[in-house]
Amino acid sequence: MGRFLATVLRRPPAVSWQPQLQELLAELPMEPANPEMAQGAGLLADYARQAHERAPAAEADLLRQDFMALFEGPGPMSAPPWESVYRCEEQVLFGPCTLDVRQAYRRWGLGLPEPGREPEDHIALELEFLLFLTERGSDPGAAAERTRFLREHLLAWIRPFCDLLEHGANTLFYQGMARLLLGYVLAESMIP
Amino acid sequence: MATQQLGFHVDMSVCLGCRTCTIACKDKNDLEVGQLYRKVIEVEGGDYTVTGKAVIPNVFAYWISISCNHCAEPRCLQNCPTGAITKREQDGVVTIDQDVCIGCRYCTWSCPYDAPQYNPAKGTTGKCNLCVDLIEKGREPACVAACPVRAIHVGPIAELKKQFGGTMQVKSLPDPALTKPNSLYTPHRDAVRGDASAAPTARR
Amino acid sequence: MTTDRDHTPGGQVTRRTLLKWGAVLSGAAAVSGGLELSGLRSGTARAAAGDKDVTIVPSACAHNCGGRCVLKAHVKNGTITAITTDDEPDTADAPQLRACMRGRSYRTRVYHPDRLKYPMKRVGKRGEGKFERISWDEALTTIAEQLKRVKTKYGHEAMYIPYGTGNAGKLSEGNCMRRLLGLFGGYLGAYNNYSNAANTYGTNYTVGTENTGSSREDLANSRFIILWGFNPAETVFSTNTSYYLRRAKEAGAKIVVIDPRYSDTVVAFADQWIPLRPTTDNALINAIAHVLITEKLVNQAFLDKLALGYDEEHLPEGTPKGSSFKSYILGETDGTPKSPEWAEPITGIPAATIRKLAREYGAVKPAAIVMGYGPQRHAYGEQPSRGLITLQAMTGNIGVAGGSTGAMGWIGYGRSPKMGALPAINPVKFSIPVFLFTDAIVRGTEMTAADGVKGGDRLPVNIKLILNLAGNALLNQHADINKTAKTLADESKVEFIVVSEQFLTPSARFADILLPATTWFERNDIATPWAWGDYVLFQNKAIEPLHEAKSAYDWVTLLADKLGLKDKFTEGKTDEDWLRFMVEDARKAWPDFPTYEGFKQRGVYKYKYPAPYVAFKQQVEEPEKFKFPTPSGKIEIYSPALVKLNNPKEIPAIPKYIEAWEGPADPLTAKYPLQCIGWHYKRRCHSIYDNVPWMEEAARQEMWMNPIDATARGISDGDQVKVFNDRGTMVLPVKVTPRIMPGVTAVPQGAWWTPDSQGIDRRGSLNVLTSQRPTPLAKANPQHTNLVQVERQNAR
Repeated sequence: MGRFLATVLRRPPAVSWQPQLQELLAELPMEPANPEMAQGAGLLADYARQAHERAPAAEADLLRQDFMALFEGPGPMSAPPWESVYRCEEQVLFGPCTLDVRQAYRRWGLGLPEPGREPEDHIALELEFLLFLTERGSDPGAAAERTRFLREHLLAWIRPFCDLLEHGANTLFYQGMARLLLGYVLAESMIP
Repeated sequence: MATQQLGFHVDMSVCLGCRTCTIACKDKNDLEVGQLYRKVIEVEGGDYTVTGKAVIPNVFAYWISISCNHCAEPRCLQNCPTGAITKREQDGVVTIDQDVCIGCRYCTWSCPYDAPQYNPAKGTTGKCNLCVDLIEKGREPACVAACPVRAIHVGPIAELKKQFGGTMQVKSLPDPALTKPNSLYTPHRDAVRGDASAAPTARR
Repeated sequence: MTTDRDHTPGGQVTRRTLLKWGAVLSGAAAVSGGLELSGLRSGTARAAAGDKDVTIVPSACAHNCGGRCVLKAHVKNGTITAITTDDEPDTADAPQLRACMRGRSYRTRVYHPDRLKYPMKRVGKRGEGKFERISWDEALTTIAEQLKRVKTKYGHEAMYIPYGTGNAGKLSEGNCMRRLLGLFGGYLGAYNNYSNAANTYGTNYTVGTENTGSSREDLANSRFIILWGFNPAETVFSTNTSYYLRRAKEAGAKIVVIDPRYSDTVVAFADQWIPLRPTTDNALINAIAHVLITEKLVNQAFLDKLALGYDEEHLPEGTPKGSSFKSYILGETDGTPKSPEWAEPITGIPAATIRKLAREYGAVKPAAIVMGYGPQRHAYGEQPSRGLITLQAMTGNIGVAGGSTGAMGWIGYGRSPKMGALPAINPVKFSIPVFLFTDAIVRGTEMTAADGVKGGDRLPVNIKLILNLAGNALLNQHADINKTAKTLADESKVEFIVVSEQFLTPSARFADILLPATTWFERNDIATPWAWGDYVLFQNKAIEPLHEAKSAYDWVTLLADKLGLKDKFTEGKTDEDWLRFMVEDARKAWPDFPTYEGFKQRGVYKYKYPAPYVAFKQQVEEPEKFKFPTPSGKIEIYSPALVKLNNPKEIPAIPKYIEAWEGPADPLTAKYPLQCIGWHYKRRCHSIYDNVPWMEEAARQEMWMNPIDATARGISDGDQVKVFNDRGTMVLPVKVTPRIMPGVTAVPQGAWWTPDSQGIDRRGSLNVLTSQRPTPLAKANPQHTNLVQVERQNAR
């Protein structure tokens, strides 16, 4: 689920995968781990039912517009997807917490292809890193890093971010995504 | 008594109110909106006589750039329940240990100069530490090095007194007898205490 | 375990639950085609030793306040963590170039979440603000196609680059584009600017040049200084100008400030504040002249030797009797002596105050008058500059140490740093005054010399394509925003608009193609000061461009390639090769200038001069040998050239007080009783920094209003007020303060126009209220000539 969330929080769904996306979402709700996830799944199922009526291109267009208004701009975004905006005192990009996230990635030999151009604390990148650590669950170092990263980063901003996302979104899709994301991170944090 | 009490001198008489000092301070200390370790208070007042179409002004305004005054009798320190606030022996600088501070905000309520600034994100209170880290490297505090008209100075307060004179008896500032602040002001022409002109309005 | 208990908060969750979801949902990613996670990669991290060290990279703040200041980026791991300013020794002959709070806040601007991140194309109606992300290649291909289309269909005169000064570097978007369009075949040129066009005309017609300024250290030689609508404490108008005023004050000068506002400059430096009704400067100038004449404080020998048309004895041959300045002041032709009593009801200044000022000014020598640009940004803005030069001539204060020429002027190229530039030639001969570009959109083909068209009789075509680069004068900083917005929204008029910007400004909303620009910390460049300042600055690239932002030279080169002009455009040079070329130019003119590497490393070069520069010293000391660069070689108080323009009412031969439309005496005051001016606010440089939260905290957007006017309207400090006239309406908070004279309100200029669904601006952008009617001679912007009404807004 982390990979799915990371994907849809990174780029707007393209026309080409609209049909499959709706097929998948139509199967919701699945067995949820917590009420947040259940709510998210419910919203996404509602979305899938509605969207089914519309042409994939029009649907992709709506989602893209919503994605830009939420995460990309131009102009002020309703849910800036970077941790530092929520946690750094100046509410800017590339704050001290970004540098801390960058250090964490580096400890595991990870980094952005073009460092410095975009902040490392984008929600999708943090989810990817969580997955990376989860996959190395047998390594005690990775487990410790995972716990620390959840506590010091993801959990430290996920609620205000998901709040803005849920209230800023114009589509059921991103409203659902907000609940699902919150549910997912909370669920992950309960797994040792 | 500190061996060599450090403090600020501010020449109010040429202060532009440009607030460069506050921003240089915010940049150095990473302060979000709402927190100002150094602030510039605008004080203004006066009125007009209008006769026919002629307008005769009787107006005044001045700025008070102010940070922590590293008082000889700091109220914040006296009221701190955790001992996070200390006055350094070597230079009399009053600091808040961020590892000890519990963010109870007693200091913010007790300081007559509104110097300690609560940080809701951290849950602790911070304030001007006279940039002792920079001073130790032989550099000036951020505000001093920033002032476009060179109106802020730092140094041993006794030497500043000798060089610039100055007082804490400034209109719109609290009575210095309260905490014995270690700052000096060369007052603006309209900020001399005892001047009988109209009551000023202070804006932060 | 996956059980129903998992639904309760705090219930046990296992990996299996999540994996089960993942099994289904990850399918979405799998089928997503081009939708890969372009996120973290392994093996890209450089864990180089010393990574944690902070590097200090010298750069410079080069927006357009007139100042250019040192900014040093403290860079850690490729990220700016702090900004400091000049820390070289602070000496009398080379003072530190300390940045103001705007520059010091720059980190929060570079890393502002709202930075434009990707090229965009418009998808909604123009101006609606709906965009879609596209690639750089698509954006530049579109621009190239449009340039070719407009060239074929309308010709090069249909292409226009509006005034824009957001990037004052040598390799700015504007400079690169002017070079490229020149190579492509040209574009409609422009002259003037929004700052001082009327002053430029006023000084040129009086002393033959706009370079009328002495160097600022000379202020310390003055004993009496009148700052006439000059507010460097906020505007800045060259780095250290306030510092030089401090020195002048300490050297013993008495300083008088004339301004409708008790400005920050008044607070810091004024011994006396004289509030004056906006647009009535020349009434005060006349009254001062009247006192000088009637009380025999005139330096007649100076005038006899150096001035044309002060009195009847020194008029050009054949001039009608009574045409001299002195006759006008004494009322010899119109029967109205321009006495302090005459000026009192016009200016709002008591006659006694004027008389005292004139006597003091006439008696204390040397005296300097330094005019700001505000007084010339009004209906007849050419007149104050001419009038103030006349006063300084009457008192013999021109060309002497501690004096001044009166009008605002900078030193000029006599002492400014010499530095090469990106070569650019425009084959199109036509040009227009910048302030009339919206006219050239709507009725260009009707515009002639009477509208300031130069280079031909009549524009051959209306503007059809606009490249708006690092500027907000396309809309926000031009006058009458509501009218301009309507003009720009009409796609049948301007057919294609490109905007290069860092943020979605009001102008950027009107782009068809929107390009994300770098800040100066993301590129190499050189900055030179314009007004005063004996130095040049190097802007070192401190960090990588953010997101997909590209520097001007990079993207204009790519565009040149699409037009088949890459080799011609670059001449095989990189951006640094061009900067090196410019430094070599400087080294030719000034042998002490450092090498390119030395300059880059230090980040600044400060010229030193043995003595202050005094404008027109030679012309005054040796008039036989050195002439003023006017047709007569003298100070033309009376200008035969202006007579030829044949509009004596609005363009008189001598400086006169002309009652302004929308001035304090306009009958329109019955409907709109308050004058409304703008000012350059300390928290912005024009419209830059309006979206920086630290700046809003330091100085929020608000209107100033006198308590007398506020009480009459039931308005209290901090209320939301509605400010309006026939051109527009805004709502913003009010500061009720004695720091502004009664009858006058002021809205700091540069706030970003933010219309609500009714078209009411919710931010307080001054140009919602301003007029597009130009001044008669310079065709300049009259931005402080507005009548308004103010009401308390009920809904708080």
